[in-house]
Amino acid sequence: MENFLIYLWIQLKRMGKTFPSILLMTLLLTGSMVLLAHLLLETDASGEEKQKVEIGLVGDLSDSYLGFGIYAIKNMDSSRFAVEFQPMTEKEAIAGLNAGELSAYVSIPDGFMDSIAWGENKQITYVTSSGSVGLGTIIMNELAETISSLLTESQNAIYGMRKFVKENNMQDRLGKATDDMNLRYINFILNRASLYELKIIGVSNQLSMMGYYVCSIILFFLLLWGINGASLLIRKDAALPRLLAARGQGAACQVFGEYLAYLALMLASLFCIAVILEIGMKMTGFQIPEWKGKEGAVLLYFIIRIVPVAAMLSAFQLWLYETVSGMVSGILLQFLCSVCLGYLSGCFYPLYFFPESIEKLAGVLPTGVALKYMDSCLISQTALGKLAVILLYLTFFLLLAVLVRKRKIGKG
Amino acid sequence: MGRMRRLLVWYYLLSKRLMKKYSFFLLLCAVPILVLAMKTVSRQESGMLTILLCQEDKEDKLSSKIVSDLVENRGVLRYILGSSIEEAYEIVREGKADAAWIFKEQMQDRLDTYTADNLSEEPLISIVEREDNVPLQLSREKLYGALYSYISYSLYQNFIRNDLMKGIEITEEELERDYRATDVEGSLFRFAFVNPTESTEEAEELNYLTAPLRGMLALIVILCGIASTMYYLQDEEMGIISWLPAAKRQLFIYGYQVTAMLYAGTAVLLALYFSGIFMTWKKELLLMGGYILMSAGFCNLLRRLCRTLKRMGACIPFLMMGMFVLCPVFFAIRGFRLIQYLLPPFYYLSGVHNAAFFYGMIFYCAAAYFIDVLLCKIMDR
Repeated sequence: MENFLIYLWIQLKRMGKTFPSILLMTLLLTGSMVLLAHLLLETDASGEEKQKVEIGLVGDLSDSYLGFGIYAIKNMDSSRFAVEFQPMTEKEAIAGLNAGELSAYVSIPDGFMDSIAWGENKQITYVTSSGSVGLGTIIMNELAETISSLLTESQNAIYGMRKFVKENNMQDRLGKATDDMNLRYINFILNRASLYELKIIGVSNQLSMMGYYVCSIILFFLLLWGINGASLLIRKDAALPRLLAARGQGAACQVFGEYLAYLALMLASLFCIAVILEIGMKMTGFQIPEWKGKEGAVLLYFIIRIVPVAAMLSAFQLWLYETVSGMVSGILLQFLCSVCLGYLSGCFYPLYFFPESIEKLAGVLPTGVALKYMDSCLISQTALGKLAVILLYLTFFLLLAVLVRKRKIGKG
Repeated sequence: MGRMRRLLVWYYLLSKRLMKKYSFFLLLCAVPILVLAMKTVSRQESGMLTILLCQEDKEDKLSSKIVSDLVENRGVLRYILGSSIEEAYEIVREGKADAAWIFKEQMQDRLDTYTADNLSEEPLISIVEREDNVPLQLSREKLYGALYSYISYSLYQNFIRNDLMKGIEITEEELERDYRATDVEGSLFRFAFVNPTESTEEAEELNYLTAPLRGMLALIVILCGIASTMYYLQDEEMGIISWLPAAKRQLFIYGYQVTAMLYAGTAVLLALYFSGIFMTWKKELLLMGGYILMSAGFCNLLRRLCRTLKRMGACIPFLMMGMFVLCPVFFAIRGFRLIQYLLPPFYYLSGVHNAAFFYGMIFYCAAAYFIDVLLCKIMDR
């Protein structure tokens, strides 16, 4: 026991020496995580606080009907909170796209309104410059279908009415009837929200979208943080472990001592960041629904609750580093595992984006269980079952690390 | 000829050295596995949102038709069917569905009242959500799209019966015949990229699960470049390349980096080919070639900045995280343009459909190598 404590103290001193540089790297990593969080939460926000998607309007906008339509969308339609249309020339639009000021631009062809009136519908060109066509393009595909349907069905109705009027010799009423019908359709489209009643039942004891993002970002942060452990935990050879083993300090004692020191380093970095973020949150007034109305250091309290997750991930990272002998191999392996596990557990896309098979897989992965446990902690639910699984994984990874260390010692 | 032979020998030696490192081999193997996994996953039933569809009256023809239309239209929303209103509330409350759309009974009568009464206060559908957000707002536009053909016909019918031909008997067949007479069809939009000669097939057939594939593969290539640079630093620390003349060491580093990224780039191109998001061989080869050269320049400058293996390793998390966020891997963000211009994956991904960025790649390579030569001369003094 005395030997173990001495070894633990040595490891703590060794890891403590690297704390300032590791804290600096942690701060930089936190900065990029905060940026990601800011982008995700801003994208998800509704109403005025959302950053609008800027879309350029190019082409022949002289028609009065078109002008009215653009005015209505900009000032009356519910989409005005999400999208901002800006008339401009094509040259300006291309420059805006390249500079990243515009998400896309729409090019309205000459004679567009006339073609609509004649039912020959010229197409509006939606131009994007997305580096890799992504979620924005996919969502736009879906909306384009809806908008097309609105227009073509409205046209069927108006042409049908005009045909009916002509067949019943009421040509003198054609002009007024067409205008009235157009206005009626526009009115219905702009007030489409009255079609349904919206009931928000509140998140109650379920996780909000913002809460989900907070948990997934913290989990991914803990996974990536593990790369700092490469220089501390990777050994080129087993000479020192063999010597310690010869002096009565077996593989289990060695691994456990290193693990506790590494965990202390991780927790120290985590708490330092949590204090900084807590102060930042209080200054900016940032809150998620789960923390509304709660006093005190809510983030710090949450970090304390997720210490078992940090403990399990430390054990996982320790085992990974134990299996490699080169620093580069260790860093690559750690990074690959972080990204793959993070993706499959729902750190990039929410888990419900995936098919059921992936959701089931995530349920058994250590990071999947960890995320579910963090979700439960955030909404103050007891999660003893998930905690038990986390502790089981922790024990499993430590055992694996001990076995690998024993094998290395025995090889000599 | 002798020079060519020497080049090939060096390439062989560097390749042998890299392939012996099993972590590098693992990284290359991860590429086809990643692509295969994502392709398999994308074929299964999934959706960005799960919407529960429920009818107050299951015998109601209109609501049954609308539910059937929604379920048949496979898009980014996943639909599940609910049997009762209480169940719908419970499922949403438990988070098993993002929203419940409850179609009220006597839908046709309600719809006719809605269109006749000029926006009556009797809604047709109850929408139950835990919280409102942008994806759910967009999903309601889809709902409106699904309902619109019925709304449009009802509006048309009401207008003719109640406004135009008030008091005069008109048959349903007459109304329907005239409504369907023109039958305008087709999409109002066509997609295009800044380069008008680019095909938009890819954009129109994209699945959201495989959308970030090119971005993730691009990051693997640059990660290989960073890994090879770290191997070089490791070799330098161990004194393995101390026999190399200082003048040739610069070329050696580039050789190391380009060799590793050539393998990664080849694996990525093959993966893209089998994933279905491949463009033409000429374009892909040009882009990848430019990207590899850019990444070599970037990694080399990073090496000069970090100088040691440990520092370089410590940079990887926030560097890769920064690239994930700032380069158009999952989504294209606005702002931080100056930082985006420093990252090779940004040019590669933006250059896929915008030739301006390809020229940017050339400029980046020239600038990176010029700065490297300058730093080399300064440090040599």
